[in-house]
Amino acid sequence: MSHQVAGLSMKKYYATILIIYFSIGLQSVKAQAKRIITLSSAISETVYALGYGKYLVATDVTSVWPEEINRLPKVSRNRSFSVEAIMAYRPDLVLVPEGDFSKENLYQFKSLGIRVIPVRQEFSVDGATKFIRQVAAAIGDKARGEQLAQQTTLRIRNTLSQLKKGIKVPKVLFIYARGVGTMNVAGKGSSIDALIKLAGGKNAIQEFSDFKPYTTEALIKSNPDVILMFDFGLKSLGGKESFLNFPGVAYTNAGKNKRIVEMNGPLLINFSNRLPEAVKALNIQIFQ
Amino acid sequence: MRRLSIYTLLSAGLLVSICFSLASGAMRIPIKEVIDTLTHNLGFTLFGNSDHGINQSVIMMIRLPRTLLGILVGAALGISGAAIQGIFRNPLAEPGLVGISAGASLMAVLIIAFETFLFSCLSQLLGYYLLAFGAFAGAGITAMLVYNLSKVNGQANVPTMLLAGIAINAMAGALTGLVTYLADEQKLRSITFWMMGSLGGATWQNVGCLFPFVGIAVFGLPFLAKGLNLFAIGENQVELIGLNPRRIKILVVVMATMAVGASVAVSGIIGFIGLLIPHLTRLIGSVDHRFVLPVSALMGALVLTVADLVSRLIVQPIELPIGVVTALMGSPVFLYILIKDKKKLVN
Repeated sequence: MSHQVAGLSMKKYYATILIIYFSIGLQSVKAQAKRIITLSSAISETVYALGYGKYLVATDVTSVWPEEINRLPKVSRNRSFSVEAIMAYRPDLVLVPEGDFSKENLYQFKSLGIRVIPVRQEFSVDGATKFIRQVAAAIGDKARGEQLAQQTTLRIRNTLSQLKKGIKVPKVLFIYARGVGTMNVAGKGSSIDALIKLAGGKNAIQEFSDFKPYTTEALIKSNPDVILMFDFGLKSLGGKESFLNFPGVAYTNAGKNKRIVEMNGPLLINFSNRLPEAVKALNIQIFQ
Repeated sequence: MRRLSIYTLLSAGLLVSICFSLASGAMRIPIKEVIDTLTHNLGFTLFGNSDHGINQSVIMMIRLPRTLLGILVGAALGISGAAIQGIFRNPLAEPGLVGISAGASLMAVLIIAFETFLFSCLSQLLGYYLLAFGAFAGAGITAMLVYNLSKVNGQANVPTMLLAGIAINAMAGALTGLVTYLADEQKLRSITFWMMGSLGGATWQNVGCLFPFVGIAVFGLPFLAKGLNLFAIGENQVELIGLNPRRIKILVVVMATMAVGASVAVSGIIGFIGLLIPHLTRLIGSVDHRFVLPVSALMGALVLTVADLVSRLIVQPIELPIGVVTALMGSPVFLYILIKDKKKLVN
């Protein structure tokens, strides 16, 4: 009799455990975001690569890859957005580059009960995999994140081992242009600086960090072998031929050999799962 | 009688604009829900986050603080503009034009740039107060500087005042530019965001922080209206009646710059309200400061609430910087005053 009772209570015990496990399982399913808003192209690409693109409800103006993302409404332009406009898409998760939201904005979302995860980006191979893991953890699928991070590591190792090499390391100057009046060059520590190094080149600017305004003298002094620009940047200066006639350009190796390279912006600076492609593409361009 | 109807009309207008401000935005929230939320929250605690869904939270946590911030900043800019114009005895003495806002913003930019370096231990709320006091100090110093620069034989000289304003704006602009080159990207972002002016960062916290600064100015300045009226005739008139012109001057400048400084600290630079509002007030009513000061506060609140509504709705789902809207509304008025007073200015 007592044995039976004990058996019953054991059953109850297991049943309770099962229910707890089950509800934890349900909880984690519930925690998985269903309405996601991404506010940078790197985050958007990563969400797609993780296979969660179908959960995106809105994104920012820089997110243009993959193609299907362009069907989504764009709720942020140049880091200008309204909390309410974002809320209008009823997100349960907002992924934003670290630092893009002010303290006030973070507080506003918090008081609305919306999960906002600032994602940190570091410009290195490790940084790219960390980035993927962060995004995956925020979505609630760490396993897929681990998988994608490992794939990316593998692919980047492959890419790095197959890079073209020259007799000397070419000096690359990156110019960020938004028309003739607004031209900046990439210094040390910038995303482009890191990518140039990975692609086997050397940043022509070693004197300062981040982006600083372009000057003709600095251009001549740095004497780059290759001048790199975003595709829209070169276009804003009137194209390759027009830029070759800019003051001072003809005095540089890049100008003499007409080595003006244009590349897709988001691909170059995103440092996420497409990093191997970016490194390979830039490597081919600078060792042409 | 006329004044009473102006007060009534403006109050009604403000009430209507508050309703619109609470009822419109990127989220489509039925008006009934807006009213429900408000009455429900008035019945209980104002900060309560009743669990009636996200719409209610948006109204209580986003729209209401934002509307209140608009009212406070608008009232502050309106009444300070009127008071400073009274002291300078000139309708063009606008905090933005004569460099007071620039002084406030320079101080605030410096504080943002060196914030982590100097005050990393400060909490967020203390940070606001620091920013507010810093901006206040910057505003006060520049106001005194411009006033003393523009005084010729005890009279404020208009061209000198405006030129001093240009010089100070240029200097503050250059120094701000210098700081932005030294600041890292993160800081740069908060600085640029802040130079554009916006009510988008409104929280109960910064509304609460701004309230005493604006409250003191809005309730205190009208008590000096009589003195300002005498100022309009001449400083010696103030003395004749037994008041101390220096004391009035200092009190007015302190209260006005306190309100402007704190507003600038919370919402960035929002120009032309201080010019537009007192001018409109004088146009519809009278030049009596007992009328101009309170009505400027009221109308400032009304106009800024409307301007914010425009900035939120015109390019949805993104927001236009509110400074763009107020400049569009205010700069034609500036031109109008110039054209109207051209002869006076030349002589």
